[in-house]
Amino acid sequence: MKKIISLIIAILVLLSCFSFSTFAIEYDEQPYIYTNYLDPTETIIISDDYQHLTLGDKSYSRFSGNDSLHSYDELENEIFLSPAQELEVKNIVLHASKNGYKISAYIYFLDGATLSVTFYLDEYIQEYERLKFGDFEDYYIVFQESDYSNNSEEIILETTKELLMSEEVELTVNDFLLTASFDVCCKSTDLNFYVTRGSLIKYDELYYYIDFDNTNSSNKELDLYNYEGKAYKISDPLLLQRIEEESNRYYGESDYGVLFDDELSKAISNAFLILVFIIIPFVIFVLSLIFGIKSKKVYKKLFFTICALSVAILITSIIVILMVY
Amino acid sequence: MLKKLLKYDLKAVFKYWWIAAISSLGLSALGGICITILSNQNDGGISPPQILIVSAILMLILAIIGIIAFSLISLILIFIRFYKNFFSDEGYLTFTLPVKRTQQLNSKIILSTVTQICTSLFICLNFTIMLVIGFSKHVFTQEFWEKIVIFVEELFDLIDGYVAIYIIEIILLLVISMVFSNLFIYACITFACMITKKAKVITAIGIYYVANGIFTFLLQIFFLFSMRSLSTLFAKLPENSLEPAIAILGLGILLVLALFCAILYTFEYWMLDRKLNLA
Repeated sequence: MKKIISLIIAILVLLSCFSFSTFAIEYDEQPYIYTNYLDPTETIIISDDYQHLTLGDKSYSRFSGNDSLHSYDELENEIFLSPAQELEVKNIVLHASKNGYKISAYIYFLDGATLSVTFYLDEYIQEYERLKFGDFEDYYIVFQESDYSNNSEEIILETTKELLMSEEVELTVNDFLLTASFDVCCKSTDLNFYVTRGSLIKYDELYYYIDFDNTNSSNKELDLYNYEGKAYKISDPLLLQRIEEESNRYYGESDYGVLFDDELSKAISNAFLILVFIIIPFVIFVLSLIFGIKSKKVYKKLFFTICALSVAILITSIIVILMVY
Repeated sequence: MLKKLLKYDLKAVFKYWWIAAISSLGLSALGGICITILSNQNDGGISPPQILIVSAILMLILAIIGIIAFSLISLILIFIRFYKNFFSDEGYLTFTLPVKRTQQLNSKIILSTVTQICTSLFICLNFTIMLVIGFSKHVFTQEFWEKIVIFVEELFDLIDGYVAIYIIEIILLLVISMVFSNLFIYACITFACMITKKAKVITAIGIYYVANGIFTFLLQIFFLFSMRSLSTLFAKLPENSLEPAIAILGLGILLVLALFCAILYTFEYWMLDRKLNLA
C-alpha cells in the first residue's frame, strides 16, 4: 500500500514538472505580433565607436536620459555592419520603444563581452535638454502613467510653478516621517513625454516640493530619505485637496481604512503598544511570581525564569520611553 | 546524561539526514549543469536543441524541488523522532530511564536546533554549488575573486559598534525563533497525544494549524496597529539616540520571543510531567 502511494506521489510530482515545462514551451511559442513602429525596410547603421545610430533619415545618439515608458518591440530591421564591426561583433539585438524615441542595443562581441547601449532620437535629446533646464510655468504631478502597466489609467495633475513654489522652507528629512513621493515633471507637447524636474513628497502629513535645481547633486540624483536643504511647502488649499484626491486614487483608501479617523487610529496604535510591551509583561510577571512562590522544584525555576524575562521586557520598554520623552 | 540522550537522538536523526543531504548535493550539481545549458542559450550564440532546453528546465525544477524536499525531510525527521521517542511504544522505555524530564526535553530542543542549523547551512551550500557550476564562466576568473575580496573588505569596514550588535541580535533572533517554532510544534504534538488515543498525528496537525492561525492573526493585528506608532516614536528620537534605540528595540523583541519560549517550555514540561498517559 505504502509503495503504491509513494509511486502515485512520484508520478504526480513528475507530471507537475512536465506541465511546467510544457507551459514554458507553449508560452514561448505563442505568436508574437511584432509591430514595428519604425520603418522595417530601412537599414540600421551603428557607428564604430557605438555612440551614434542611423535609421533611414533619423539620427540617434547615446544618451542617459530617462524615459519612463516601458513598452518595447524587437526590431527586424537589417543591421549594416562596417568591416571593423564585422571582425568583432557576433550579434546585435535591438529593441525600440513604442514611440520610436529610444533604441536599446545589446551588442554581443566575439570575445564574449556584451555592450548595452541606449540611443535616443536627436530631436528627443534636444527637447529633453530644453525641458530639463528651461524655465516653464506649467508643471505636472505624475501619480501614474498610462503605459506603466497594461490597463492602468493615467493619473497626472496639472499645476503651475507659482502654486508649487509659493513658500520656501528649509527641510531636513527624517525617513520615518516620509510617507509618499511623486515625480513633478515638465511636458513636451510636441513629442508627448515628461521630464522630471523635482519631487512632491508627503512629509509629516504635509506636502513639500523639492526642485532638483536646488540640490547640490551634479547629476540630479536625489536621495529623498536623507535630503537636507531647500523645499517649497504646498499651502494652496485647492491644490492640496486635488493632490489628496489623486493620491488616494493611486494608493487606494488610507492605511487604516474608513473605520478610523487619523487621531483615533493613532490612539489605538499607542494603546496597543502599551498593552503589548507594558501591561501584558506586567500581568505575566505578577502571575508567574504568584505561581513561582507556590510551586516547588522545577516549576519554581521555570516560573521565576518567566518572571525574570517579563521584568527585563518591562525595563527595556521603560528605557525606550525615557529615551523618547 | 543529557549528552548521552543527545548522542542517541542525533544518531537516530542523522542516520537518514545524511542520505537526504547527499542527494540534495547531487541534485544541486545537476541544477548547476542545467543553468549552464540555459545560460548558454541566452548568450546570443548557437541555440541548443529544443529538447535539451526542455530537459534542462525539467531537471532544474526537479533540483529545486529536491532541495526544498530535503529541508522538509529534515523537519519531518525531527518531529518523528520526538513523537516516536515520547508517544509511541518507545515512550514506555524513554520515561523509565533515570533521566530528568527537563533533560529529555532539552535534548529534543537541542537536537531540533542543531539539525535545522545544519540543514540551513547545507541548503546555502547547495545553492552556492548550483550557482558556481551554473555560472562557472564568470566565477573562475581573477576579476570575480578580486571583486569578492573587495566586497568582503568593504563589509568588514562597515562592521563597527552598533552594526556588530545588530548582527549578533539577528543571529540570536534566528536561533530563538527556531527554538520557538520547534517548541510550538512539540507542544501541539504533546497536546494532541494528551487529548486523544487514536489518530494522534492528524490531531496534532489540526491543532498546529489552528494554533498557528490564531498566532498569525494576533501577530498581524499587532503589526497593523503598532507599526505606525513605532515609526512615529522613532521619528521623535534625537539622531544620536536612533542607533541605540534600534539596538534596544531588537533586544526587546528577543526578550519577548524568549518569554514566549519560556512559557511554551513550561507548558510542554507540565504536559509531559503531569498529563502524559501512555496506557
